[in-house]
Amino acid sequence: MRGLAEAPVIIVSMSEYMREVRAFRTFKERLRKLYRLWGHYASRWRWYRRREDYEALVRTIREIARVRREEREAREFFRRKVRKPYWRVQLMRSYEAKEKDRTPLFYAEYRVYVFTRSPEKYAIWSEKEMEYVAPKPELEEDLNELEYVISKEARRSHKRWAKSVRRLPPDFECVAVDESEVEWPLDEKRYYVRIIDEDGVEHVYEDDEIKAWLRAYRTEWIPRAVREGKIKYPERYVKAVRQTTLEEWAEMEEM
Amino acid sequence: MGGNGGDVNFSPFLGDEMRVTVDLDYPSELQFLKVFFTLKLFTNIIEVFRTKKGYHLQAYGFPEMSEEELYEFRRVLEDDENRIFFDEKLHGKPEQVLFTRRHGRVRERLLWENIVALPWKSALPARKKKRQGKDKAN
Repeated sequence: MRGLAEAPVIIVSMSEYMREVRAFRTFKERLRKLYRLWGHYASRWRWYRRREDYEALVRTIREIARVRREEREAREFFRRKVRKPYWRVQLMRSYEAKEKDRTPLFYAEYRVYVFTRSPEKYAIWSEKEMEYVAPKPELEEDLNELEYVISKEARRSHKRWAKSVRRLPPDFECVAVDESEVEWPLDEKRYYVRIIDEDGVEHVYEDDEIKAWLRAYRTEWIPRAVREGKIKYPERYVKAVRQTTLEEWAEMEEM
Repeated sequence: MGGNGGDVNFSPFLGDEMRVTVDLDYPSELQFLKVFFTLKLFTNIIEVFRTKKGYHLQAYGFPEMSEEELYEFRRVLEDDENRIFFDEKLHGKPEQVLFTRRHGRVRERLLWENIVALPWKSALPARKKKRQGKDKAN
């Protein structure tokens, strides 16, 4: 069978690949210095015959062997890595109602996803798992803001809503995709919201609609609130909304 | 919307490659190996992960196929039926989603040695179960 004996691959991004390529240059540099020391101690041992020079010479040769072995192993592992140019980073949060007696159960999912060439902008690389395992705070903040804006659109108290739902653990995806799967311009965030309400009716809100809400929130709602004197520092308000999680909203007291 | 952003294209086989992802929930060992080697017939670029329920397989570099063919292929490989249903019916959301971190839990990467060395579970018990109750002698 084709490729039966070959080692399996590890898909990495271009930036991750190049980071490792740059790391290989340090081996070369370390070896250059060690070879110079080898000559230095060998010469001293030849002319002065001192014991400490001999010991340093042996130590240096062993160090060279160690570095070369380390490099060989790293290169062997590196050969498994395949670089892929296009990546998709996605964060999904889902909620369900705390009261489980009622059927159908309220369920909401909020997604933000982005196609990119450099996933390290949006995700954190784990050396142990050899994967991008967690989102950067920017994506979390986007969803915090989105939840708040949707509450505004629905004309409900965000604090009360935060108290009525239970947050399921978030799901995160960072995966290499093919070029044919890249449907949107790179590095442009897309949103997707699906809500199943208590009557069992499914509401799906796609990107255009959600972005219109976000735009209205930034350009209409906040300036109006500033004019009315409800908000004193708009930048700080926006930042606070972005950084406040739903758990923190739930802990706040109702005004 | 090609999505290349006006940059140089990396892939020389532009548009001829596809990605197939399979989510196996509670598979038998045989089923898992069957899916793995079926994918291996087409491509060498396969990533395998162990999840809480089973396995995730991500294979790159398939020949181009239509959407219906892709769904059919995934059904043949016994992919999660709900996942195929969501990809077929719901539009506007990303497709072929396999979460790296599902419910806060990170999946584990499997390397080739692990895949073939996985312990085989026999359907037969190792020894006959002792009968409890009246006839203890048996």
